[in-house]
Amino acid sequence: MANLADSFLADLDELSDNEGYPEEDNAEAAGRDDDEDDDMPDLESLNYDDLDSVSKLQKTQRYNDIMQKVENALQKGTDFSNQGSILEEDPEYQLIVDCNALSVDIENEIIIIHNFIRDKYRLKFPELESLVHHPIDYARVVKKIGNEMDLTLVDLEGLLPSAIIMVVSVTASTTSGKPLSEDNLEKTTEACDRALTLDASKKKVLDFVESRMGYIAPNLSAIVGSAVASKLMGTAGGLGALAKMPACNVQLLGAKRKNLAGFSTATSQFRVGYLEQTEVFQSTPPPLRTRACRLIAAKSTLAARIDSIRGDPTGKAGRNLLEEIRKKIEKWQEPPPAKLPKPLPVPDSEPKKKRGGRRLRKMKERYAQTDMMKLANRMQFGIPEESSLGDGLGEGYGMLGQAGSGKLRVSAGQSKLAAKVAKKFKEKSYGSSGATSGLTSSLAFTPVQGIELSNPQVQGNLLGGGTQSTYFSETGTFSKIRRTQ
Amino acid sequence: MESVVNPKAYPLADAQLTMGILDIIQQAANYKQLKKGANEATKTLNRGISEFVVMAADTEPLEILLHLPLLAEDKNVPYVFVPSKQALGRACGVTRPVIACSVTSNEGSQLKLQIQGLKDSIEKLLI
Repeated sequence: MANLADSFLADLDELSDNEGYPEEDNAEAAGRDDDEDDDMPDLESLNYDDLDSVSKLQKTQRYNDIMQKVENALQKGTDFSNQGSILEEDPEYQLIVDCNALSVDIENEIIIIHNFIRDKYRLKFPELESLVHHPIDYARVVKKIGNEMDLTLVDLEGLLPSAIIMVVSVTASTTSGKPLSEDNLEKTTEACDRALTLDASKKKVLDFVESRMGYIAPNLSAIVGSAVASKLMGTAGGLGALAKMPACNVQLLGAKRKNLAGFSTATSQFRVGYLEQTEVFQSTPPPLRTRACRLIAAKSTLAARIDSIRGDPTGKAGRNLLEEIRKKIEKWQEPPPAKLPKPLPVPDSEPKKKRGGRRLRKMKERYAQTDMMKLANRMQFGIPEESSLGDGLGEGYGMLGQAGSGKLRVSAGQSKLAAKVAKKFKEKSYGSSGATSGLTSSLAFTPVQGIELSNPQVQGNLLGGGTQSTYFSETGTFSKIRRTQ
Repeated sequence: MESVVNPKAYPLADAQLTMGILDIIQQAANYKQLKKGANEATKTLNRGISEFVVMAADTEPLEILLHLPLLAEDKNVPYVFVPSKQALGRACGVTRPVIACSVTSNEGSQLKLQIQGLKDSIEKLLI
């Protein structure tokens, strides 16, 4: 779809170019008509065919004035004879403020030209813009390749990393692009030249700002250095804007989208912005760099806020903050304190609540272990023990049954307590229970009544012959038990 | 202590207004309508959700929070200095000193009337 649209755009360009030729013959006669006729194809194509219609910064008076002043200031060198005067009224400070604004404008202009170059060069090499992200690198590569179709003849060494050069070469061998026309190629080359010129101007402006950074932002320069301070100010849009940023945003200033060229992101380096280039960050061990970056961003923000209202022109506060940063990073690198041998805890010195005595001894004797359990808990050396389930399973019997008799029953020794209990029990039992065998008599002696005899046959005579059935007898009458008295 | 207050800390609240401010800040902390710290206060001002900003006058150096009055003037938000950062930290419910905090907006909050009254009191200091 995109390639088809590009073909249509190319056709439109060709039509515009073809229409231009006859008009040029007529243009020699009338100059004004020529200007008016030239505007028509641009409006018809709406393709930003002319670079000057999208890139106007280099033509402005402001740009030329500032660049001229920067040239003069750089040649003049660093003289701080006006250091004692009020800062805002110093013309050099105003120049630095203008340079900060101009660097942002140059950056925007480079982006516009980059879009122009991409639109032009997409016809020849559509995949290049996804391989080379940086606008200046892209402009250099486009200028180097030109209209060449075989990229093995083009030397890209020094412009790109080796991995990306390989990827670009392989992609160029299978690209769907076509060579550009002479007119398009000329426009593209001119745009690349303009982008590179603007980049050189921006570098010059930043060099000037960097050389004056110790004067503009002394505290920030003390922490992160003049180069990084100028980059932070340029990206943020000035010292005031940098002071109004929260610290977590300052940490990300200058962070670029990393091009992995197909490699894994698992081992990619820590992504930071300009703060990565500071001397403190580079001297930090890699495991602590995440925390160091956060710390440097926070302290840099404080320093920028001090500088934005001229709190400390000598930079002493910045040096104090830098010293704090160094001390913290050294503190992180210290090993944990060595483990000392732990002393034994203080023994429990509370007195016992029980002492002993007759009652306690009898309680212990009552709950003491029996002789049978003692034998079961013992093992004789070299002799296997018997168990309830056999072969060592179940509950072991220990030395039970090992005495030679083969019986598990043990004749218990007579303890004093057991003897006393038995004696007491014997005194209380004075009668036999009901469940007795047939061999014993039912004779009982009580301490109260003595011997008492009773005749079991007495009850039978009262009913009138117990051996007969008295209820349904034909001769019998209703029974009546007479009184014996 | 009062005689060495930084003259850049303007407007500085007196003892009675300070007590009212710290009380409102404590209630705002309970209602989750408080942002503690200079960076978070900067974010609330940039997002336009700040009711007023309170700063501590005994901050050393004071310049690390003097960007907040500039931002507050741009966003038309009242700002005020209180004498002690320790007291401000205690009012925010933080054991460390707090040099700046911001009470945020919340429509339908029970604190709205008190916050509006306090905003009027703070704006009177600037007249």
